[in-house]
Amino acid sequence: MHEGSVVADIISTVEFNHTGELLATGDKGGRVVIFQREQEVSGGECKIKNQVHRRGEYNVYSTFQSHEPEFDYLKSLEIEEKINKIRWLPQQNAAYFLLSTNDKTVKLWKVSERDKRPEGYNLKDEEGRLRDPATITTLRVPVLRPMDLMVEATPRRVFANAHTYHINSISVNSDYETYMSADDLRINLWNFEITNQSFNIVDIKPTNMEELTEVITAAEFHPHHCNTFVYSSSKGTIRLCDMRASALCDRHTKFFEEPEDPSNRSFFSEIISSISDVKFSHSGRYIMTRDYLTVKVWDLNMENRPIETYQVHDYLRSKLCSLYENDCIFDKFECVWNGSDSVIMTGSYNNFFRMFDRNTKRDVTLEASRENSKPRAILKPRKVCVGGKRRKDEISVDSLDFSKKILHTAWHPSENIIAVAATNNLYIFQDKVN
Amino acid sequence: MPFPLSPLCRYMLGKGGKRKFDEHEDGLEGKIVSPCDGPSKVSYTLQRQTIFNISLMKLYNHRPLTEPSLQKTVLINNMLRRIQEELKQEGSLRPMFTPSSQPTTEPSDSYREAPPAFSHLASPSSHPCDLGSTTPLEACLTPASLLEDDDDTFCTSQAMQPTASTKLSPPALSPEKDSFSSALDEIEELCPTSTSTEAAAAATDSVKGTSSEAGTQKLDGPQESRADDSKLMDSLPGNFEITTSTGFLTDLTLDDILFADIDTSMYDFDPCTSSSGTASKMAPVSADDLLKTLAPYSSQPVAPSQPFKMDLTELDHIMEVLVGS
Repeated sequence: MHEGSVVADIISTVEFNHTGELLATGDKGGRVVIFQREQEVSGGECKIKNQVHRRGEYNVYSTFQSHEPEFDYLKSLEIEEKINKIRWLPQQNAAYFLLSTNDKTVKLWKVSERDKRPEGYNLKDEEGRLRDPATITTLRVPVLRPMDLMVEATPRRVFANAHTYHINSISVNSDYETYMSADDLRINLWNFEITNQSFNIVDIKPTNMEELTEVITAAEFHPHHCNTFVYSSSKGTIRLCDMRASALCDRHTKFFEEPEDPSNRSFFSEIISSISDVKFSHSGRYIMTRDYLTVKVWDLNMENRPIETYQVHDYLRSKLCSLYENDCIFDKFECVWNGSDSVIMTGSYNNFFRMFDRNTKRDVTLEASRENSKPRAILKPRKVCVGGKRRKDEISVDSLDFSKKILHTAWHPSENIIAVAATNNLYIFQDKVN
Repeated sequence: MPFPLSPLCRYMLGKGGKRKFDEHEDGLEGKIVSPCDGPSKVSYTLQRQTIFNISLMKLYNHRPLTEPSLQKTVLINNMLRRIQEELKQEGSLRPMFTPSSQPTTEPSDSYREAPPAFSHLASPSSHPCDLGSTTPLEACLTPASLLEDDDDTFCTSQAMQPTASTKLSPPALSPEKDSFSSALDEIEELCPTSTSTEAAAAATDSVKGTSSEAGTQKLDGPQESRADDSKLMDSLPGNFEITTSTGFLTDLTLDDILFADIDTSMYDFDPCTSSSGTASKMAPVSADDLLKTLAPYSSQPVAPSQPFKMDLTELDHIMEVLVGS
């Protein structure tokens, strides 16, 4: 496995674009860093030494400040600049477009390359200063001359003032003309061209806020059906909605909920059932949900229970009281599918992340850390020992570092390349056989 | 990993265990018990109490620079409500066995007699006070150092002093709901809508009003608290283990005798809550689990007698404060 890491602010989101050529990260400081995969070079064409047989590393392509901290004077509270989500638009021309959002505002960014620049203006000199028209005696046509590659990011749209509560999800529709943004209580539908107006398609805010017991935790459009989307709740339920049914999708088309397991009931049952992430499979046939201890795969045609349940770190079940006390129980882990929907991945504590193969039912625990990863080294599977004798390579539950959590991961759309965000380090791992 | 709240947690553990044990086990009054002894129901109550206190602390001790997460607030509030419901059902369950015609509302009547200093926090629909409810106890057992340490704002910023805010809520089953709802109202009213600048202005005023009201409450606290607390002692049953008023001790003893003949299997929660259907069903947690839950995250091993040693000295200290000596 090949590893590259970049030190930055705490990474808050990671996302590959649709071809996998670009990888975007957002951080707590409101910055977006985009990595681009090198073209693979074969022996004869390499210009730089040591790059023979280079596998296509990701290098920094562009960095820009997406959001700035704001102050809500009415509530005397800061609005964090932390980037909650980044979503790419499919590429339609030479430029790349992505949506990035903080708690309140969504922005559409255009990332484009400039490798030529016009020279020979009539009214301006080379430094851009205006020339005195009296001194101009000839006219010439400006020409484009090559220059060093410059990547610029410009904000093309700002979608603001539509969310009273904190935005947790954005999702681009398969029509590529609309997208949705979801906060704790509402989901809004936007047209990319219109920034001063959005349609509210889900509203679960009760008239009397004292009766509020459930919030929206994540939402996503169906990958192929532009009228269909799902949203998950803090009570462990998923609702699938069809926008053709009515303008306000308060009535769901499908309702996914698993009955509670009475043997696992505890004070924390509700909290650990709260869904932190929901993702459609690439095929559109399944949805995957992540709650505190498990990842579940649901068939869209079966609402009463998931078809697969994977235990991420069940050894934490006996520690829930402490994890409640130190707030770890509220950590929002994300989950991802691989390109063929055969493997799913999610993060855990101690910089561990887990992969589950849906076909072979095998799973593996890996660790993202500098000490254990050298370039071209193979990641060693890790194991957590839950009691009794601890073997040499195992780590005991009590030694886990709960400050090292992997909340955000991404999987290349077609290859076995994964990006794992461990606090402020980004790790990119590649399958050694490709 | 340091968890500054852990010692506090164990402190509360000790309290609940002793009291609960005294109520249910005939002839064991005064015996020092630990969380790992006793029937599983004791541990369940211990953990429930701990979680209740942690939840209150989370809601009120947090003064973030940014808006707190609504999801977290809702989940914590749901937890509190669930525990509240359970306590309510426990409270209504017990009088079933009382041969005397004492109405179940008697405790709640005395609830309503709470001193006026705290009445604004009492919910109009007061819950019957559970004889075993330990929350008002926590509310009143404020270490003396905190009585002078009152903040101006309702939500204190000191995570280590939860009782400073819970002190305001001796009818404790309801005010967290009020505070929560007022917090939500705050969010609701202060959210800039398309029309309401005046609504926002009104909301800002009401928020100021609440916090100054709470502030004056707190400032009055140290002076009034001693008198108030002793009044509370009389009015809130079962809230003090050590009380100079003998009235409730007598009642408790009577209850112990009354319950001694009752089949305690009725106190298993599952059959009771399933019939009610409203409270969430929680499996009793074994003492081991409880200890295991807390032990790894504290720096010291949990010795059974330690929490109670702390309790006794703390209680003495607090009693001195309350009695005004």
